[in-house]
Amino acid sequence: MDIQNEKSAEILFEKQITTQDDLIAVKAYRSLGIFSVHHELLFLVYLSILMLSTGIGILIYENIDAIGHTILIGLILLAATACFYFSFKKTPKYSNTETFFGNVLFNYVVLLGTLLSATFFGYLQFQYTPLGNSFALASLMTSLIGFAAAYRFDNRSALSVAITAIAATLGITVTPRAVMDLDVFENDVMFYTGVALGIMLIIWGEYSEKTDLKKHFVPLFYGFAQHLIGISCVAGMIGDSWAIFLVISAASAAYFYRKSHQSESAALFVFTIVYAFIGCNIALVRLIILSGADDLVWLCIYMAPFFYLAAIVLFIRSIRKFNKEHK
Amino acid sequence: MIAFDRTMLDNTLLIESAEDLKDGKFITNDQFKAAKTVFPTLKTQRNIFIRIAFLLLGSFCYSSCTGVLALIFFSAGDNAEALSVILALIGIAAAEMLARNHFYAHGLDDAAIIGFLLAVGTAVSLITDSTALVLVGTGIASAVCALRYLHTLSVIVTVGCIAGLIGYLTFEFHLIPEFYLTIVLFLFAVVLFLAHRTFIRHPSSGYYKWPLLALEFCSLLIGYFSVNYLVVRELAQDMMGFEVVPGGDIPMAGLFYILTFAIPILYLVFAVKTKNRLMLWTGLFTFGFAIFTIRFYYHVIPTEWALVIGGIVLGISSLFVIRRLKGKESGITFEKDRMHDSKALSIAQAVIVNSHAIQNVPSKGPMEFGGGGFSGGGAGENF
Repeated sequence: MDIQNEKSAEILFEKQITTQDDLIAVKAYRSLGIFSVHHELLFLVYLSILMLSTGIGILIYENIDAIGHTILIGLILLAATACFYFSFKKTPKYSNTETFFGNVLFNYVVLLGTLLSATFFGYLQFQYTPLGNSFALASLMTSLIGFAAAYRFDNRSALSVAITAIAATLGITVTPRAVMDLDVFENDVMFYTGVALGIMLIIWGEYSEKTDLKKHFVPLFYGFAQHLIGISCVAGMIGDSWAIFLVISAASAAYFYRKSHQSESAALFVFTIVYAFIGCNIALVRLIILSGADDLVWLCIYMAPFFYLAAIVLFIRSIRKFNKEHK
Repeated sequence: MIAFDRTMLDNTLLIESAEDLKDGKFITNDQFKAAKTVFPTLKTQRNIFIRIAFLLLGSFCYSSCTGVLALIFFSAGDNAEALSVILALIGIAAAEMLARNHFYAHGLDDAAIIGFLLAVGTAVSLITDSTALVLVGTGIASAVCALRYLHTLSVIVTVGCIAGLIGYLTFEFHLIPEFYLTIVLFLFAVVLFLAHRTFIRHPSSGYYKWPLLALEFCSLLIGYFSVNYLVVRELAQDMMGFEVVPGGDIPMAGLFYILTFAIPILYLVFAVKTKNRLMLWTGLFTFGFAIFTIRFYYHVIPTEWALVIGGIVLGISSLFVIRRLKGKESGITFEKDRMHDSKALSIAQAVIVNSHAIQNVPSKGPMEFGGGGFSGGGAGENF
């Protein structure tokens, strides 16, 4: 707590908005001089786990001839099992609501277990191909383990791995880097796959909400779904079958607009508007090109600043409306 | 100097910290709502997504204005200088108008100010054709924006312009012997740091919270990178034509080696002593860069073992510190702060985990799967 907070508490008390007890509580808390390094230390633990699993990954790759494959695969399996075994020992009883480990560090043990399982399935598949020639099944297995770990141990990171892996199963790369490089999809069919996966995630999110099944995971499903459908539609609208994706984009915007109001999520709301705005712009450009009128193009260029000014005003209004309804 | 209505600016700071108090459950939601009705605030966006969305919209608007004006100007002959001056005027007029209409840290004002600075740079460059004057012009313009509109990014632009100017004058006009550039930049960082310490005691420093943090951040980064061995050696080779013969090294290499590690440690110690979070993060980052610096020249152990051993050492030492700090109820502690429960690092974790360890599309071949070994190797280099 900084000095500004204490000053504000004093002013609020002077204006009789807060009570003296509130002010005393604030002053007492500030006098403790708390400097929490909670997140920093956990981040370091997290980095160490990533370094460890990356290092082990490279070691395996380089020593593939020296050590027997079976031994390596066995060791990885053993390590992953150990992670889950200890997590099981410490985890609270399963509940549909949010649960917490007594010690937050176990969240990272679960994550390490999930990552090691991913390595295990990938390596096993590469070496012995027990699941046929396709790697899709290996990522499907990773995804299943991820979902299981996420729901049993209430772990968001594992859930995030699981969703990314299930996208990989279908051939979509949704790692942040791929999104940055616009390398999410291999071909046009993937746009439909992306939309389909998005819809599946929405259905699962709705189901979870209705049945109170780990409700706190729901925003993650909607977030993934929104971006998957959004990116698929934008990419699809640049291609040939743009009319179909325009319709999907409009439907998704309508759905997420309603959803963001229901769940009072500002992030969901903003991205709904952003994707809808991009969609509208592409559709407008498409229509102007279709019309084939050169004069119209020039008129549009001259009108563009006013178009954006109007967009800004509309955006300000919609944000204000959203804030008014939900704050 | 400040363009905003002082009372409303005071109210904005008050309501922002009241929101923190509400998040920390010191006051109730109803009390917070009551405070909001009593104290009218500036129009500001604390939600980063909304702010970015406004920034993008504002930039679209500004660039479409640029397009229209360019069409008008170029149809009347080649008038690029006049065009850029008019664009700069539009930018500053928009920034002033937004400030008068109580838009503060909103996204739209960011777009206007960034557009203004770009236009000033372009205008000076077109009119004078001198890099030094571009740096001076943009530096002054951004300093004015930082002071008048309390704009954080402008502080970074100002510092960048000054540092750029020092470098430019050294290499082009040999104002100081090139070899002393690192020392001059280090002194510049010290001056910035002392300036920050002075400004923060000023009565109106409360308004400049974020710009001052940016100033401190710049001073810490310049202070480190001006004497980092990797930066100094590469600069000596690229810009001064210095050649490092096998068995030889750059002059005063020992000093730079020591500073490469000493400064991050100094930052970390100082951060813990003064409870300075920005310095703590900068210290961690620069310490990671110090390790990268050494590994850049000396492959003491292979990468994979460095990662494994580094991971184990980092993990064990973090666990040790966590055990020591757990349950402490005052001062430095592992317990969560009721007030500033930053979500930034949790979000970073969620992003990093996705770039890591996922088997990939089959057609891309065997390098793409097999855990973090091949897809997320970059993660290890940072620390």
